[in-house]
Amino acid sequence: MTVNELTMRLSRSINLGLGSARYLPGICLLFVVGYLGKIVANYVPHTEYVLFAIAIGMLLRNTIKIPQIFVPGINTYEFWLKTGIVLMAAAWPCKMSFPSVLPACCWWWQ
Amino acid sequence: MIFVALLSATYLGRLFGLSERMATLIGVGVGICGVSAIIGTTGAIDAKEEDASYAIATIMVFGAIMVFLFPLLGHMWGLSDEFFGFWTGLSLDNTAAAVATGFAYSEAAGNLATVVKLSRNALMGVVILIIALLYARKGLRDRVENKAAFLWSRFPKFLLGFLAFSLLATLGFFDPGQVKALDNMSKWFFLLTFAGVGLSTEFSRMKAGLKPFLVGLGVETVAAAVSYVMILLLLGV
Repeated sequence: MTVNELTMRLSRSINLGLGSARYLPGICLLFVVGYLGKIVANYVPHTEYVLFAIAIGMLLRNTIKIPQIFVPGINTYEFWLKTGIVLMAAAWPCKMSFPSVLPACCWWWQ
Repeated sequence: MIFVALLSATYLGRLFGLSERMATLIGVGVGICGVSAIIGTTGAIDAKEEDASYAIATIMVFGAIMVFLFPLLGHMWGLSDEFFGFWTGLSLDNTAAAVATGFAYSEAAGNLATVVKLSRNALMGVVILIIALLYARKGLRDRVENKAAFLWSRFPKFLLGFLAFSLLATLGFFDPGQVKALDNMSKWFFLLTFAGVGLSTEFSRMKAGLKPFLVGLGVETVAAAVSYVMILLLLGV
């Protein structure tokens, strides 16, 4: 491996590291807002934290200007949604009597 | 192709103890989804060149309103978790909003809403393909050269992960401890998601105008009402 190649590889991995680092502030903000929602929900009986997480998030977004540093991380929420759904499937058979809904849809299409 | 799907579906349906009305319900949901998609597309043709980000902003605001409105109605009418889950999964068109709305009611409702919405997502490609084929027959569009590729390009790929995990779990691949850990992880990821939904909802960016918003509201109301009646008839709750 030449020195040139080595530097190229190094800079590529540094870029990759910096690339993921730019998501961190936003992801931390997501966590703080979500957890804040959980805390608030503890004080309000008969509510789910989801509503508060969304409400606090909307309040922040629409009252103050979110600094640019948080934006890339905030946009990762769809990734968490998809990953959350995939992982949720692991607990599926315990929760539901029908682990696979898709075949039913195919059946309907006959 | 349809024959294979039918055969395997009937077999799997029996294997998993799927009831016929459940299957019909899900099918009805897809039907509604198709209708609202068509109405939505027709409405969109009028709008010509809207900035995508404004359109997304409108969708986000819309979803956020539903997250608060649906549970309110659900509690008011005393809907069961099952009913609410189906209703949410069938009526809401934004996956993040559908999941959030379901979980805003209860965990059971959230699980059901997610799966119902996912099956709609999965079938969206089929609906689009059929429409494309019908149009091609009428000579209104080019022939669909490769149907499998057409479907694949519109299939939400993360559903494969979902199917793989549910299959592994059904086969008993995970022990109870692992299931609990994965389930917990999924809950934390959803926490990030819900915060993100809120943080991405910006009212001032809803510049697409009031008209598309009202059209969307009308479509949504019809879809919600129709799926409500359908579930009422089929579940008999």
